[in-house]
Amino acid sequence: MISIAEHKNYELLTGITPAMRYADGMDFSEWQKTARAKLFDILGMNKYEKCDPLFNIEYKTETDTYTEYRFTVQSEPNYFVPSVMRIPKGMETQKNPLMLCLQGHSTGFHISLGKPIYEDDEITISGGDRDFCVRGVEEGYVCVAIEQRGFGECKGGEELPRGCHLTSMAAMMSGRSTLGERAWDVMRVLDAILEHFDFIDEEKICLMGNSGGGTATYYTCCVDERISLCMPSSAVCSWDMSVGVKRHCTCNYVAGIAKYFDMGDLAGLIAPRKLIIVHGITDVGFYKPGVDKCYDLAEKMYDVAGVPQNCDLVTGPFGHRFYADLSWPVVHKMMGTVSKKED
Amino acid sequence: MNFSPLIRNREYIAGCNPSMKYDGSMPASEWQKKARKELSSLIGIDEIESFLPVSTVVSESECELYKEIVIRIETERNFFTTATLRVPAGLSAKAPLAVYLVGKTEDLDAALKDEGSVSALALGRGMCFMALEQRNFNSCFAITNEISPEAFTRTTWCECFRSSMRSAMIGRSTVGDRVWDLMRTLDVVLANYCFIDADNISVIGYRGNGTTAYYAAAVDERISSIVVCSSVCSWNSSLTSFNQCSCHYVPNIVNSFNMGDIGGLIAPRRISVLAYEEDEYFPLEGVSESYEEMKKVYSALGADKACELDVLAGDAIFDAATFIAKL
Repeated sequence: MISIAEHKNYELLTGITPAMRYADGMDFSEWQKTARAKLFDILGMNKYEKCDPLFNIEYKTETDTYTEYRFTVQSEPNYFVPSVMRIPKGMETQKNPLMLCLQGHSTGFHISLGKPIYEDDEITISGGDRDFCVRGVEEGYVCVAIEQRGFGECKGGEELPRGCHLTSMAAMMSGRSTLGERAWDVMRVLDAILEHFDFIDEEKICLMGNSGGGTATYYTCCVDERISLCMPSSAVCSWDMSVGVKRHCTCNYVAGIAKYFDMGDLAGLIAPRKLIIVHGITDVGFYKPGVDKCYDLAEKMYDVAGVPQNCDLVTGPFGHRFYADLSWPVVHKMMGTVSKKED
Repeated sequence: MNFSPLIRNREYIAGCNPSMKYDGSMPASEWQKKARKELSSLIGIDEIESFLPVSTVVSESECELYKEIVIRIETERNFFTTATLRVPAGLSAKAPLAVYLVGKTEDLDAALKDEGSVSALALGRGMCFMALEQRNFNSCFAITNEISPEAFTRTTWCECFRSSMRSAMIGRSTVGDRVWDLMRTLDVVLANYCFIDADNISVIGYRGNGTTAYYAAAVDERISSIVVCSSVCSWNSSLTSFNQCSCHYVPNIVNSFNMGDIGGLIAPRRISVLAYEEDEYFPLEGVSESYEEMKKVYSALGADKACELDVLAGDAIFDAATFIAKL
């Protein structure tokens, strides 16, 4: 029987038993140490260099409901990350929970802020609860929208609709990865937030994102243990039902990852911290059976970690989007916070 | 304030000091052993399951000028490629073999024309000729049912993308996969066709197929010479400046090798690099940089004359006569 390259590679991808998969009987925390080190290596995170963050607040502005700061952080030499923080009115004098927000493939992080700039932004925002910071502030969280590499202001000047391809291939050649870069950026922005803003409860740091933002959320939480709650949406799915079977953006791919981990295996690196996997039942980029496979693995490892209650799966009735009404109650339950949203 | 991740990545690459860069601190042949091992690992051929290739003759035919044998070769379990071998009519002694790595269908058709083609010119010189189909092209075509052929442009969504990304995820690369296919095809051809002079195997490639030829010659010492065009060029002049096809990219290569260092593994065997003055995607400056890098190893091995760079006028094209003249 004649096969072709793509089928062959799919066959290889789905035939692998990941070398770092947690096996019954292993010491869980020892496994986490080894697995986290391996993931760090695969993402290329040993190839980034901390540097002077050159933290700069570009503006501060007030509305009736929140105070907004826009700031930049140098995350590695000669690369800057723009971010926008919103603090619910009256909360700057206390310690507050923090929700870091990562947008997916879109025109940029202004979507998270509910601020349309380009044609079709309105549809993007309203059609999938993608205004993460708007909702987060309503819920009573300090929210920070972070622009990810390859998107929006950090598109890199590529004229193609997707700004990720060339920079992602350059990263891959360098033994790095766009996902590793994005995780690094989030970590450096978090450093800056904790250093410069004294109204953040360090025990209540959360990270969320949808689609490409969800993928970056998941990987970041695997490597940064300061993050107490991880909420990836439309992102967590086994390779054979997502990036391995369908064309996804270049930035979703990590060289060598499948030898060691399937996506569900990585959940063990987040435990015992909180994990809320959000997905849409008709998502055609991240098929439900693949999401379920990952969640089964996640549940198993959260059981081993002794915190089965810290892992949840939120299923929305539609497709590829975030589900704010379904997800935020779970956030509050897990974080012990109370919604401040007025109905 | 730089917000471009691409600029940052290009800076990273420019600032790299590749671990396998040839600096003359050890004998060149010793460096080659070490570097060849590293390169084999990087392109992922170490990840491919050891496999005895299986071949089937699909068809044989003869005409006045040559005998043609079409061979289907299983190069790894459940993956097949096709080689079209042509042997000069009346061949009575061992003959050199010119291997042409072929991409698109129209390139294969052009290569097999009876006049003026790369096969015709090679046969005319008394050489055997073999066109070897590359992964993701022709009979090895990857499914791209999400875009129509008309929609294909020089973007991410080319034939190779999905296959190349899957390959990368499992620790391989399309470059390595293609090198493997060539190596296993040579196993088959040398084992079954005793009229091929095993000491005289040349590989020709243009663009992505030139990339394959280059890497293959670096790791497989049975290849005695290569002629490549629009492939050998420094990283930042080519692969990080333009959206090249995904199949060109080898994960983590930059930390170990400059492009020219890889050419050093071919020494003292012959390499002929063809460069076009107006080649937008593999500009002359980057080609020259790589050429100077590989020349260091050629010089160290006393093989300066085996390493050539020819600069040609105009934009890059595949000209069969130019290639064959270099064999």
